[in-house]
Amino acid sequence: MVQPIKNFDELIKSLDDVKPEAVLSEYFRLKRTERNGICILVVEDQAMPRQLILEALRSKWNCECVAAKNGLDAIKAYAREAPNLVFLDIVLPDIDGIDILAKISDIDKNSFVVMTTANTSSDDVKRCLQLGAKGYIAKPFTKMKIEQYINVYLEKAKGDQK
Amino acid sequence: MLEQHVDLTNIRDMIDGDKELEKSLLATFIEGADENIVALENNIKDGEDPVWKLNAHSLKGSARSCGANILGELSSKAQDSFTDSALVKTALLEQIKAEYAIVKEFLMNIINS
Repeated sequence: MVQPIKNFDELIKSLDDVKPEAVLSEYFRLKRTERNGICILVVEDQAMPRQLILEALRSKWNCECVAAKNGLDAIKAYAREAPNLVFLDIVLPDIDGIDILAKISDIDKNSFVVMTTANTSSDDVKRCLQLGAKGYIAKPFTKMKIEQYINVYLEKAKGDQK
Repeated sequence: MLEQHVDLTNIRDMIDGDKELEKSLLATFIEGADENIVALENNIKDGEDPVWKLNAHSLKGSARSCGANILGELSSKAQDSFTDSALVKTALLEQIKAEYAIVKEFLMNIINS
């Protein structure tokens, strides 16, 4: 039953307490629960490695896949699709992958982002893990490296359901 | 001998030996690598150059994904040399072009087979 608002000031105050980040996190969580299977966002500016990982994900793991070739497309795709898992390249032509990671971690506390790069700098790895990345893949992609993180994600998702 | 230049083991493993898909991936690699090399040629300047760096980085990533490991290493050197003189960049690009010619010929034979 709808209840009349008794104390308008109290209602306004309670709305002030709602953090936009919390609302977004909940939106992403709900979108994921509506999905059958998992959706993976691949952010990779180079066409050939992007095509390679997408084909492997679709054929071997039967995943729903979304691709972005730059940072702006990545942020839009994340907001639109609420992917379960993201493979995010660090070096992109427009926005640094680490900045995208920070943005995703800000708006979605349940994000599962794995950084990918052809450069291996321990400072970058440390920074990415501090910002909430769940791991790090040194390119080139291999079946074993991809499978490792898909399994980690699936284990985590199983744990979250309990 | 050509295996030193291109090792397709990983690509074939990733796509379960799908020949048509392999040809498509190799063609995509060549298209991107051609563009990267033209961009490198057009950006030989003294001192820091982010366009040179980004294209060398792209070529490095694609080459390694394709199993063209020598080309990947040369591109990595080019990426690291993004602050060097035009002379150093020219010398590196010549090595890249020579290696790429071998890689491209090998891959074109597969694509056209």
